[in-house]
Amino acid sequence: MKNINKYIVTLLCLGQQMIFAQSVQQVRDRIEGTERPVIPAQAKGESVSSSNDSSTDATVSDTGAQRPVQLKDKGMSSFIGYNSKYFFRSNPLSSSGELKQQATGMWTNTFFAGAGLGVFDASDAVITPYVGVSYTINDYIKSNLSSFNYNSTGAYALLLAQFGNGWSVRGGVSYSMDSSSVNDTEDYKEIYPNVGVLKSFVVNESTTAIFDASIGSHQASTEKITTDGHEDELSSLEYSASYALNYELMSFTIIPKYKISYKVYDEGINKNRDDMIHDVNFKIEYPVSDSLKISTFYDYSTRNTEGISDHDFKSYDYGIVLGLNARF
Amino acid sequence: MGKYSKFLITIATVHSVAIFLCAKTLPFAHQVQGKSEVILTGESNDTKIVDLRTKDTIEFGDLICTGKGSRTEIHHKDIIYRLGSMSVASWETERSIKLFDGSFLFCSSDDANITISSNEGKAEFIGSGTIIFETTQNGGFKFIPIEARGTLFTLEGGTKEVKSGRMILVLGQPSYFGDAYDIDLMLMIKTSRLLNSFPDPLPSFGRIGLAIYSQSLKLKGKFNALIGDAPTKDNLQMWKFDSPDDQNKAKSLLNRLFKRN
Repeated sequence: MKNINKYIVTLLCLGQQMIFAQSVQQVRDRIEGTERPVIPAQAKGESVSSSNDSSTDATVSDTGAQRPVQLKDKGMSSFIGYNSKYFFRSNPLSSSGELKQQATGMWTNTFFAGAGLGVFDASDAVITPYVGVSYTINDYIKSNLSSFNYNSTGAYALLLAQFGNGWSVRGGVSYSMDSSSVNDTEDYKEIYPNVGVLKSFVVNESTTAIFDASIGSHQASTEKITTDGHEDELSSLEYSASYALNYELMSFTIIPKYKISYKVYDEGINKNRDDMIHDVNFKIEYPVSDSLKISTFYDYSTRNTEGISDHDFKSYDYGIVLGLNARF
Repeated sequence: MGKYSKFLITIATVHSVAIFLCAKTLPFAHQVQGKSEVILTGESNDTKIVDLRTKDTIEFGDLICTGKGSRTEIHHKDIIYRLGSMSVASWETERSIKLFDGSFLFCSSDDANITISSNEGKAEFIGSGTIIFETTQNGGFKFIPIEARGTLFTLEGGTKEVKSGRMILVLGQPSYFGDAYDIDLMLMIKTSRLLNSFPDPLPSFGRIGLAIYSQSLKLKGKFNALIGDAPTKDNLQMWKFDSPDDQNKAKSLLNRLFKRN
């Protein structure tokens, strides 16, 4: 009888461990499929603020129209904002196999703030240091996934150099941390030193193309899946490039974008693993006012993983975003 | 060949090189749009008017006049000058230009030293950049650096650092600085024919883009006004206009109902 009890207790413990392991694995899968855009577009030299100006109707002359403006002495600037995103996600836990698995709705609310710490005019470039923070509440709408709800904290510091030929170069470091809002545990954190280049091209009067490339090292730390596992198994070296078109149509901006990323892992169970990620995004933005923007989007991404089995995945999202952004 | 001959050849070579190096290069018309004329003044002060054509050289002291809707691009060494329509200018020396009336653009990637004068204003610019000059009714001129680095000197005003996008008035004899205004560079570029009505883009195109970018990062606000002429030394015309917000406000139903403005 004692033996049977022992057997049952062992079985229960093992079962609990297996359930726990599965949950940690799922959290890790979710983390691996998460994009972390900590740095807003305006700090990457991407934003082109074009406001309708009645003075542009001013009569053209040899000299040109001279409209007085007010400038900040040192060029210090700050911005705060809020993004609310409500969307459908076909594969929220980035599981391998089918495109649609545990499909759910998601609601994310991001609060962010940043500052430009001055504008420095060098002879061939304008240099701007930026710092910023963000906090995102990520909620799964489907109740059986609500245990995966998490909050993300982000911070960054970067130096942006814009050159006269249209290229900008940036270098900096960002920090991200995910914590479970249900269990109040820190599931993931990373330090991401990275460098990147960006170039804007004018395709025609209404279209601008943006090419972006970057390389960075994700120095990650997460919970071990196995006792002999490593905390830094999700650390990787990432190379990525993207190409986007900003097409202005009346008051709308239509933005198709393609991004390719290649990640190389080298720790623990991920030794010799590499991922190839393709992402296609289509977004339509409508500015309600200077500081309020509404947009709708569709996003499709796939990941092909070499060196580890059952890690390929594909997923798609679509939804709406409400964005508030104020500059000071 | 004796030592004496060798010495003579050396002297002759040195002199030839010196003469070649000291030879004055003259400005020449790189492009003429519409009708531009040159008023030539002879030794006995008799004048002759001839049409300015592409590749014509311009003697120092000659007056260049552009007709209505006509513009001319003049190159001198590595400096590009563009003369606006209805303008009268003269290259007094290699480094001195007098603008009697109208407007002209100066563009140099390398450091230069030029003196610009109008009927009643005179200033010396040392530096590089793309700068527009426009005469005002009070006899002075506007100095509008689109993108520039360097200093501007006047007898009474001393030396001032030049900042991209900061227009300054040069007035009086001896000259001094009038008011300075930061101006909207993007609007300036969109509406200036001296910048964008010529087929060849300026070599400073990239630096102009940087100046616009830098200004947009520092921008706090725009005034709903345009700067006009300066009829007297104490007055500068400002033309007020309504912003789109003001116009929408004026058109709103409540404002129409209650006639609020």
